Amino acid sequence: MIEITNLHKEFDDITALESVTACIEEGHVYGLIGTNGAGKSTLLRTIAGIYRPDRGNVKVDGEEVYENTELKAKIFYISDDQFFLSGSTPQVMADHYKTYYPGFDTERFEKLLGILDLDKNRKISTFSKGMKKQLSVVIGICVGSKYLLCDETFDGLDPVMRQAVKRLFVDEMDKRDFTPIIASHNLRELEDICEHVGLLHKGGVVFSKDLDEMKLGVYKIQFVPGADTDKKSMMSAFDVLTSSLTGSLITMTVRASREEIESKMLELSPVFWEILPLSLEEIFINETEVLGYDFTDLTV
Amino acid sequence: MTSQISLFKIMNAETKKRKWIPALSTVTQLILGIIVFTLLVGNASSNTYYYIDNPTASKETFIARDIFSLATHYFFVIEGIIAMAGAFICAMFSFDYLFNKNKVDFYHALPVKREKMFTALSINGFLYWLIPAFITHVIAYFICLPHVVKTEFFGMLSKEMSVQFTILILTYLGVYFAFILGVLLSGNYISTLANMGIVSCAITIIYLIWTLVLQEYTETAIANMDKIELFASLSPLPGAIGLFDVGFNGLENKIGYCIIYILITIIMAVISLFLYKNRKSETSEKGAVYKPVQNVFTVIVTVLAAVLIGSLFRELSNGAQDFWSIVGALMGAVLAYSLISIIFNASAKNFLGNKALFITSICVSAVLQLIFITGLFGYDNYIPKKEKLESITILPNTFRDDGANLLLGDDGEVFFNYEGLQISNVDIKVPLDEGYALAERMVQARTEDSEYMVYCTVRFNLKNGRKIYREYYIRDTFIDMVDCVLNAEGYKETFYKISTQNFIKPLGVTVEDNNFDGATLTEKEADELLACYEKDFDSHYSAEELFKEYYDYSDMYRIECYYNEKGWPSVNLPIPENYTETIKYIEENLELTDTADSPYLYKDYPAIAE
Repeated sequence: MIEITNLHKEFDDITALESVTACIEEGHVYGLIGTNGAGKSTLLRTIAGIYRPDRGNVKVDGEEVYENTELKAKIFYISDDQFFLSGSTPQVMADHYKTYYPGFDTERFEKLLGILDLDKNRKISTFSKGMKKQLSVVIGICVGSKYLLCDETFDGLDPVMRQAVKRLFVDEMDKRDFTPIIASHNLRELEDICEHVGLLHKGGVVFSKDLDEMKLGVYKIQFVPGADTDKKSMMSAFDVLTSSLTGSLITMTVRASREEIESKMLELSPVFWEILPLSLEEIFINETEVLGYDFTDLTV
Repeated sequence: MTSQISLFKIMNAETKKRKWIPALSTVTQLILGIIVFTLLVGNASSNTYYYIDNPTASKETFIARDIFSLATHYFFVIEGIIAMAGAFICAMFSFDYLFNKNKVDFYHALPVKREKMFTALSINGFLYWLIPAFITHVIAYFICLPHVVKTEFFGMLSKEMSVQFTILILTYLGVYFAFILGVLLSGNYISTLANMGIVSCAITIIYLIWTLVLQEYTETAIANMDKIELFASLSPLPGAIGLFDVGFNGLENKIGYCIIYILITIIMAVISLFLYKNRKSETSEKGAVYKPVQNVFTVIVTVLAAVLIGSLFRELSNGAQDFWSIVGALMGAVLAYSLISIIFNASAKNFLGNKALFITSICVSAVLQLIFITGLFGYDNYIPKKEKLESITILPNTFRDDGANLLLGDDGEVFFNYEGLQISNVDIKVPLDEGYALAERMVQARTEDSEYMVYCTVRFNLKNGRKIYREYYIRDTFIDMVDCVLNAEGYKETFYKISTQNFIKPLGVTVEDNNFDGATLTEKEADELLACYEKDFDSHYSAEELFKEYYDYSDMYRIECYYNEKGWPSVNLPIPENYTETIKYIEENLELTDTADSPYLYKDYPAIAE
């Protein structure tokens, strides 16, 4: 388990992380979503032991991770622009990682390269961006680490390959103690693989919840109020995140359980109403919009 | 899974990433160190000349001596330059991953303690140079061996090459850790070069200020002094060059120097490790990693540049020297501050950087310049109080350094050269009262004009063990006061000893006048003439006479003494007008003709004689 407590990190005058507290359970895929510059990469680097926290701490399996080689051996970090040795091939990279991760599974590495159609003796510099990402994931899986930190790893992968990587993760989680932590903007991709999601905004965690629970807690309601019903009083009955009006149709995103919504709607008896499920992307937009992250009006 | 990866494995893995460094090191050392060296040894072996100052030695000995000289001098110089260049390359490219964010992520995410990574990278950088250097030395040794094995040079060669290889190792390590320090203080290549320059040259610049700038503003500062050299040796690069000098000229009395250098290297290694351990990963690509260090460096560079440029302006200006030195100092300060700000901030936009720091640097520069201008609080006039003095040592630096036979140097040796005899570092403790009076007079006469003057170094030996050095000019107005020096026991002991050496019975003696008419003397004539010369010499033994000879040089004749059949080197004894006994002997007993010449000179070199 990764416990992040009151984590604070500054770069000169910029606060990258501010009082971040979160808990990442083992055996689940954790999705880290956030606005641009929210501190996702900083958080991952701190978890990987690359950055030393200014305040607070990051504990992996109960111990602080910075300069803790035992723990760092359990973590593999794939950066958004992974470094490969100059002039190296996948084989050279594998040999390199074998030195530092003695549990490196060579057989699996070769097998996975074969499946993904990556030539182990071809220079990495000739690989496309997507191929480099695939190679990073393959290495990340084969080093045998418990936690795999992926920073924007799905970007640059084609849809088929994204599915393949997801299957790899699931397969790996079935086989051994494996916890991928994936930071991404591609929320649709995270939605069908992550079980737990953390949302970062401006260096702080907005929430960190189970995805299903989160989806169960936020709904979109569309309704047409009765002619003599006060629209405002209807809206005030809910914890509204966003709302819009199209003719007489009101669309609201509200934070409430399905049962609560249903009972209130029955009570308010509008002309028409329905509850729609929210996508992760919609949740992200709604949650960040509440925090002022809204660029709907870009008229200059 | 274990994270205890052995140091050797890390070293091996890291070497695979930088194969080009050991490859370059090996190729360079083999090409420059061995191939060129082999060619030179081949040339030396086939040379037919031999040293003319020692005709008794065999040709084989001369060849062996040549080879020995090549092995311990030329080879050492080449290897030393390679060592310093290698130290720079190895330091820079072992740790330059710190300048790239992706590489930092890559390295610092690895399950390795930073101490261990630092150790592995440092040892690797050392071995990349050491192993090829060792092989090169072994090969060079075996190239030399066939030529020197039958002579006494075999033992000497083994010893010298071992000592010099050790010195090379020390040189390499010192420069290497200085450069590592420069890298660790920086976040990019440009600031690394700046930091390396600052780390390596800061004390050199201070040394320059001491020796050059201080002398520009003062009249009595010492240029060459052991303590200053030691001070300069604290800086890695000049220290390495100093160490190089030890390797070149032998270890005699220089062990202390080596120990200081080793200590400085260790301190730099420890600081480097500390910086590496505590370096924040996010500082890559920045100009300066540590703000306080950046500020300190900025002030140091600014102030030093201000003082240097101020003194340069002072030197170049004809009038209003104080004004121009202040203008120069301010210009130097602004230029240096802007430049260093641009480098450290990796941006030219805000070239004045931190304004408070800028104002501080300018103020310190201006104050320092004012201190210089105002005579360093009476530096030139300062003489310790007499009651605090144990003794006064006067070191006359120049008496007749005109190719005659009375040269006084400062490196503690008395030796022959082709110009005559040189007496060095005659450590003369003069009577305190006379010495003090002379010092006071020299201070008083600082601004006097005089017909002629020579300079001398005065060492005030304080009762508390401290020594204060000053350099003064002796002027003709008080030349008689210098007799206290000449009459001091220490001086007489050295002077007379050398004077006697001049009268070692030579193998041949010639006399020549100003028209180049000469005579070759018989043994009897030579004895008689030299006796006259010695008598004249004794009768003119005073400072005034010696200085007058120096400045009013009007030799009537010259005596040339030859000590071997080669005719060279010889000792030349000038005969001034006041050497009446000698002149009388020549004019009454010798017939000078234009056909007479040294019977030995150029005997074996007809082409040169022609």
